[in-house]
Amino acid sequence: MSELEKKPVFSRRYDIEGNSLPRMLRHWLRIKTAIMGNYDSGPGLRCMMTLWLLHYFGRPLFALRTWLNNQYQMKARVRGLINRLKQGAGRGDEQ
Amino acid sequence: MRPLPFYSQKALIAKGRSIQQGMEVVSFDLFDTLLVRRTHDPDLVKLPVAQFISQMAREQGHDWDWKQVQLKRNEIEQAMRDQTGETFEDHEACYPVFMMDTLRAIFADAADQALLEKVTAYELAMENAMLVARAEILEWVKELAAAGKRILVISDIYLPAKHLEVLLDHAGILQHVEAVISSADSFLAKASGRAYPYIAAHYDLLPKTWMHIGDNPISDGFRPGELGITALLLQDPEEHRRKAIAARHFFYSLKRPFWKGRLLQQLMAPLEGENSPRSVMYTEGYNFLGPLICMFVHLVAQRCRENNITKVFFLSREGWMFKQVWEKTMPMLYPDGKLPQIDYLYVSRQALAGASCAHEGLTQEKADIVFLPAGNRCFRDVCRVFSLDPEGILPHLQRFEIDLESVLSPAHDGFTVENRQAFEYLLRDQGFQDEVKRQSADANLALQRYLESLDFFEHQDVALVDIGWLGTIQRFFHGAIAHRDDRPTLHGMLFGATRGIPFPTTADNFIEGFVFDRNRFDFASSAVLYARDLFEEACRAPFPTLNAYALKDDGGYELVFRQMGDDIGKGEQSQDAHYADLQQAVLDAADRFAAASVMAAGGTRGYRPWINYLLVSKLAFARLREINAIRHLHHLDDFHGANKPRRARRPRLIHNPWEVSGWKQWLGCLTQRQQFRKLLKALVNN
Repeated sequence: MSELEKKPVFSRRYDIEGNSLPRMLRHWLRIKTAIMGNYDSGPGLRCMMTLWLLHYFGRPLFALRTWLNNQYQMKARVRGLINRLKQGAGRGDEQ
Repeated sequence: MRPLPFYSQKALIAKGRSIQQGMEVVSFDLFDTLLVRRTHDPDLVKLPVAQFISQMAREQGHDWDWKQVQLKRNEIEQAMRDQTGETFEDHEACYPVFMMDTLRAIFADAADQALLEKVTAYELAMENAMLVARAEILEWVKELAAAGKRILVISDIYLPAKHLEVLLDHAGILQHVEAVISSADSFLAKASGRAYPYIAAHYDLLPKTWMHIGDNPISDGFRPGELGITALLLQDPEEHRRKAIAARHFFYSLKRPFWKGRLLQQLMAPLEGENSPRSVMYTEGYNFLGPLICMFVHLVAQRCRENNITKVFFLSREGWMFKQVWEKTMPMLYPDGKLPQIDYLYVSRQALAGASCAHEGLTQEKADIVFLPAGNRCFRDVCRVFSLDPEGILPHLQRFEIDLESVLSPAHDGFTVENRQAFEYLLRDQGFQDEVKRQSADANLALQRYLESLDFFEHQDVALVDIGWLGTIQRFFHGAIAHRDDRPTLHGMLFGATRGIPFPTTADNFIEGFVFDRNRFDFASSAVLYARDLFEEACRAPFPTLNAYALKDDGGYELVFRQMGDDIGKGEQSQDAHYADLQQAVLDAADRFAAASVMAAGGTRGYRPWINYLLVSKLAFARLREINAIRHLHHLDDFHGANKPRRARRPRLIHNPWEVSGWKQWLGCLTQRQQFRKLLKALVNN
């Protein structure tokens, strides 16, 4: 087998290779339309949709989230610094 | 000094490399920087430990359920943090101290150092199973160590440094590290920044030549920055994403049992350096067959504990895989060690069939089994299956006007009802039965000697674990030892029980299919019938099958194995090579299964829906390229004769794609729904 045909067992989307979410979705459609056996509660469409979002669009979403979080923290630090400076100036005025 | 945030390991390492020249010391945060957890929540590791403590407490007569144990641990840990907070700025806790107090609260005087060590060893084993070294950072650490930099690992955690060393050693990092520093030892943490001056003084470090790498903006960013230490922050969004996905699986599994199995696989999945590109065969072994086989072995272990079974025999040759999976998973699944002894038992239908006739003769039922496979045609096949010498039998056949070549199977041309009736009369003939018993006596005695050497008769209840399917091995096995008063009760535990012929169930001899059982009305698990040989070959040991039990001159026994020089033997060897990757994947999956199972499934309750999904999705609705990639090349059936049966009258339009190739297989993949419906219909009709 060539190196090109090889794939990681756990995909870059953090899904299991060979039994990924789209396959589960297809199977969910099957079990909704025919008797296929006992899957207890089944996967549930809402759960699958949320996971689909995370598996397929998670990369940009989480990158944006981390970047925004950093911006927020930076702003909070600047705001804190300004507040401290203001408080220091206020005390100076009182004196 | 402002900490520098980096959004990937690559970017951080590139920056680190550019400034490492002027640095003497590089310190790393441990969790989420050097090591990552498979779970989204580090506290999940505590739950199996609470279950373990609860189990031990109950054995000693203390009525503590695991939730109470966990609450007590949290309560004592919090009290310790509050107490530390009175003296130190950081509210830190130390695991050996609060765990010992927890154990004292539960076990009273019985709590001692040995008990603490036992609990600690289990907790660290769970941590080890859940932690993975970050591949690129690990490479950089090695590079830094080779360049002569001093490397420190600093962590704010309740585990003392000696415990962290165990985790680092397991991850292959410890040998590159000068010192491991934990806030649990000094109660000076990175969070308040007190740890940094303490470490600088203790290890004689200059902040100017010190670089710190971590993931927490405060503890690993601002605090070292305040002291003038160069701080690099790893804020990897991909890691957050992975944990968010794991968290979603976890929370869904609490409400929908279906997700328990999926969560189990999410936690089993290889990460970082473990997740290298693999062949399709390996991937299918790891993601499909591995979880199924591990779940089966777990179900077996649970049944053994419930029924007080004292010995488990894994039957050759599929038991070879089951036994290895057992050995890999049980220490973590059942840390109390209350498990039956295990052994590997060399058996085969061929070897047992003959040995089973020594006392009860060749019964009608046994003879019917011979003609189940269409490849068996005449009495010569009966002789082959039961290892009988045709020369000794021939006079008896002549008395009933049949010969060795008389066709006895209706699947072959030349079959007559008269021949079949004559064969049935023959089976009722005392002279014939005496000859069969005489020929089988030695094999039976050799089998008994072999079983005695394994202390088989010393147990009251034994489990016979096998792949399946009809239970013929156990039927013959029971027949061979049924005359002995000291025979144990045989609990047959099969991967799949197809019960093509009714099994003679008695109080001391019964079988049960754990993944599939025809006696249990379960549509989905019947998908196992699509590719039985796939499971057999995936579990089969890479050595020859047993041909016979031979009695030696000194009264001892000898196991006679099949010679592998012929075409069938060579075919089997090539099959071994073909499935080597797949079998390795199953064993690798077993390494990670146990910890994931105790954390995700909390017992075997959540297995069923996932087993059903895996079977239907991967077998009944398999893709053509998947079938072609993992289908076996050769399969040796020692029972199946070489005769070709008469062709079926009507050509079939719907084919099982696992059994055919070419256009039929293509057509089979197009008509999977019809094929599955046909299977269900057959199940209902049966």
